Amino acid sequence: MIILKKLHYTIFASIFILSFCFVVLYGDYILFFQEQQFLLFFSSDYIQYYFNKPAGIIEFLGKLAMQFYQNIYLGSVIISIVITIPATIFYLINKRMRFNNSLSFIYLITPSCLLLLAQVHYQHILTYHLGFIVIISFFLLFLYQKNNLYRFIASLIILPATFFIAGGFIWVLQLMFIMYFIAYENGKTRYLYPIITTILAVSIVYVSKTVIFLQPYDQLIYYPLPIINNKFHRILMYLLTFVLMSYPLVSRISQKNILKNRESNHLSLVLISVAILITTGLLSLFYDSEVANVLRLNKKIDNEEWQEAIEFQEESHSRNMLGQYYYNLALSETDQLCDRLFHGKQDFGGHSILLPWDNENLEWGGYFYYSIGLINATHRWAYESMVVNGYNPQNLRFLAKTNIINGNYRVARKYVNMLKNTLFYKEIALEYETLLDDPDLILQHPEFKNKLELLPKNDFFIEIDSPQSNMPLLYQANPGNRKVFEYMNAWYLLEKHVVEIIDHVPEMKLLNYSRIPKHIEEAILVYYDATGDFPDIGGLEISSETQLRFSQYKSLYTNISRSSPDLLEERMEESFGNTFWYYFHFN
Amino acid sequence: MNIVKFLKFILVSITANLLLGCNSIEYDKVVELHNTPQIEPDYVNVVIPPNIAPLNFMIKEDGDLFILEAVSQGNIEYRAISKDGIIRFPEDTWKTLIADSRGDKLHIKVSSLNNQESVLNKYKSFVFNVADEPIDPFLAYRLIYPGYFSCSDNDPIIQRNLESYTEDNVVVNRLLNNGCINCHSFNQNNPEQFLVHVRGEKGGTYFVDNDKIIKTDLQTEGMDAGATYPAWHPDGRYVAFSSNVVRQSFHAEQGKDIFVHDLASSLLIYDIQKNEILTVTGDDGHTYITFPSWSPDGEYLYYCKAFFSEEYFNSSNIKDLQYNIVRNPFDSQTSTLGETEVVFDAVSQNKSASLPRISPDGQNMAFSLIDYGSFPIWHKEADLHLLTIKTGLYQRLDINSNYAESYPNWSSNGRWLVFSSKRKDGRSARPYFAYFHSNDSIGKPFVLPQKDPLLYGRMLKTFNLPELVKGKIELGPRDFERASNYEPIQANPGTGLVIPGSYQ
Repeated sequence: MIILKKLHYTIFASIFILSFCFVVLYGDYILFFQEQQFLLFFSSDYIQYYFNKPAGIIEFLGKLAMQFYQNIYLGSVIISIVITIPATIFYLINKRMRFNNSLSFIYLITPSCLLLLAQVHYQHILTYHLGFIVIISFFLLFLYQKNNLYRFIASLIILPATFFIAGGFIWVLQLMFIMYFIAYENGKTRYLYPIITTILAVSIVYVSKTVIFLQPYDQLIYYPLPIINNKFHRILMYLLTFVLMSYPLVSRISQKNILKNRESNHLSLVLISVAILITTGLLSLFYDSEVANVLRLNKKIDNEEWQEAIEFQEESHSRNMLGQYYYNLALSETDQLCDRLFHGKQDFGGHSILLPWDNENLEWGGYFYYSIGLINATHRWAYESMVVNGYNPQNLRFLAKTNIINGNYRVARKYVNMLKNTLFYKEIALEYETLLDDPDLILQHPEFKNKLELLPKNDFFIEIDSPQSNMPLLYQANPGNRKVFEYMNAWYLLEKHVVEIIDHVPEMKLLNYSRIPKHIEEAILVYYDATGDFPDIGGLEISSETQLRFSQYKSLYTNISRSSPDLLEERMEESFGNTFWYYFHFN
Repeated sequence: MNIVKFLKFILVSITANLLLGCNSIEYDKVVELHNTPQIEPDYVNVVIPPNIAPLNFMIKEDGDLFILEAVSQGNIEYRAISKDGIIRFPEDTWKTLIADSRGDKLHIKVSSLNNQESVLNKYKSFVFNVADEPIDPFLAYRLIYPGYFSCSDNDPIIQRNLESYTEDNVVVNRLLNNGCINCHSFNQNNPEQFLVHVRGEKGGTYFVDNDKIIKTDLQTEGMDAGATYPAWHPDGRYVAFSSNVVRQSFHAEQGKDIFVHDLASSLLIYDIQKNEILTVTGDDGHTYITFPSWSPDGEYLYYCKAFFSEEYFNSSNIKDLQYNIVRNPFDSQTSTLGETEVVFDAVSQNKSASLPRISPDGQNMAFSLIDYGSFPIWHKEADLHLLTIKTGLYQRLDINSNYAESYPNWSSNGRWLVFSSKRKDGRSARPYFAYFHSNDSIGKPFVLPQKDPLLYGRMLKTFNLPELVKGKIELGPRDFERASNYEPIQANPGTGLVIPGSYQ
């Protein structure tokens, strides 16, 4: 059978197809997240930076490849190729080692499968794959030497090269060398070679630290090993390291015919099929739909697909704070905040309106301020993100935009020029450049014209510790800013501050409201029901539909409270889950 | 012209002719223009020291080919041709040219060739005025993002050789657990005696004395804040600090950015010999003191002082926070301060004065004047002023721009002023140098020259606290890293230092 004769091709194809299908069908969030983490500039001083530090080369190549993640098919092909490469290298290694029984096929498939499983974690970047590829390639190069003495000499050259190209991956390779010499050497050199190479590896780091690179020890020792704070990912990486270091030992045992199997091809086929099946099963186990959905929502927000984002969240019902933050943002951008707020899940009160100032939220916190027109705060979030996390498409776009809006054209041009030097953000850079060349066009630009109208007309200090205070402050500084008015009311709704909502209702007419948004109507009726006083609603009216619904709510509430109080929350949610009334009572 | 100069002249001429030969220049018409060319950076008619690195620049005019002719006072000539308008002087040639123009002028002629119209445009020539007095050969600065809260992992203190383009790291925060490093301060431009603050896990004030680094903790019991802005007493025994609880407030209004202010501040003097902190007593909770500076003879301690009656700052009342510059006589034998004397009354002019720096001859004080507050670099209106101490007369210097000018510092010979200016983009500060001939004559300033003249156009980082240094700092990042591993020496609280008379 051809499939058996060319089993290794079957393996390569299986890994590639499995990876490709996974990334195309489910991994879009990984591509989006990683593409948004870095921005690579094609300028000599920027590129030079990567060649002046250990592992800079694979970091650069990883970031370069990740730029193509913008396109899902290109990204999937890149990841699939990179995941398949270890299998192809192990095929050559097996050939070189004359290791060709069933177990050898397991070594062909296992590293790639483990890397594919690790890839499920959205923070597992391409650089990690490249690190493993570098060490496996160097191990192959090591094996190409004609005898163990030459291999030992080669290891003395390979180790420094590995450190320069792949940094902390040197330790994994050194473990492979140690196991190799123990398995394949005899006499004194069996232990002498591992000791010498270990001393060399340690010395390389020591010399790098004391003479060559201005880097701290932990950076030189660990970077860029895939250390992610996730239990499954950690287990996978330990397992992969174990598989790699066990290879020389297992191949040696195998060569001694202990595990020789005449029907090895059939057994191999079974083992490979089992491995692929297990990998497929584990892929679905490791896949975190909650994280995936939040990142998908993030992508829609980033692409300004507001309506799609709203529908997506109303279908997926993310219970994640960021997910709900994005939903509220999309509602604001489509002027539906106080009409539709409770059509999506709201589990975090006011926290899903604005994010607290900390390093974890740096990438996202600025969106809210941009939406309400507090441009200086958006700039601060984006700038801080750039300082702490480095350049990425999101912070650079925000920096360009905020400087354009604020009239800092010379600074804006710097960011625009940086975007021009990227692969996929040239178009937007050229659009901004046109505006900078003729600033009168800024007033005609739909987005910037709108933001200029939202700016504060007088000054105040932006609150950091109690960021919600910025909404009334901005509203005071620009009473015509309807975005902040809606957001402020949304915050009151989520925090159940009904009196504050009532206080602001009379101002709605001045803000050109022709009708009261639905959730605010609901709040007014809550107030009326509780106090018996019908507040001043500034000449607007409560719709008959809302009034009718409120009567229905009250009557259902009374009926179920009497008949089956245990089912009250569930039954009320079925009929009124998308109202302020339900949120007010049950959240 | 001596023989060496003559040989260099021949060499340069041959090179230039070869270059010209490779790029044959043909045109039908010559147009003499009456304007000097637009160049980036603007070095037209600047005054430069005789030991400065080449002033490379870019010609920002239309043209297919650009021709530069530099002619020294002794007629040494250098010619260069550039297709992209970028002019880079070979370092040796540059040295020859400015050495030959020392105390005089180096003439620069620029022409641009328009191939299509076959026209050679000759711009009005300009000069580099080469002063006789050299500048201190090194500049120390911190390279940071001019931002808000965080440090990046790469905010080093750098020493730049002004006679070439060589840069060396002095302190690298990446090696100090990414702690922010700040407030490097030299005793009279001395590379062997200076200090830096380090924040975070490896925090402390690192004092450098020759080849020793001593890490100290200057915050003693009862101090609201640590020692912040430093000033070395010239005898090297004392360092005056203001102790500031610094806050950043962020403006919401377009066109404004950050307001840096103190929630509390006071004055202290650290006695290095005794390892003692002498706190200046009398703080009433409403007096703010910052940015101390010594007279070069060490007899006076200058600083900025404000009185702010309100309990909290907001965007309206901050305009009432205005500082005068005052001074107290200091007796280094007894470590005592005399009565306070107002040196510059900015408050009466509804202004605020900051960053006093006394010239090495003790005659003049450079400072920055702003509308309110004490942190000029975030004030667009900040301008440098000069006060003649003896007469109290002051003037706004002609070296200012429409953007912030801040942090003036004198060279050791008193002939050069370095200062921070945000004139290029309003956000990133660059070091500018101005020749101080006399109170009435200050040369047009020039920005720190770079090998790549387009660098500033794309660089986001700021050159923070530019300080001129008389020689190379021999200690480096690894020395500071080693020192950081030691426990800091805790300073002892000394006796309170009483200023006679009212604290206000």
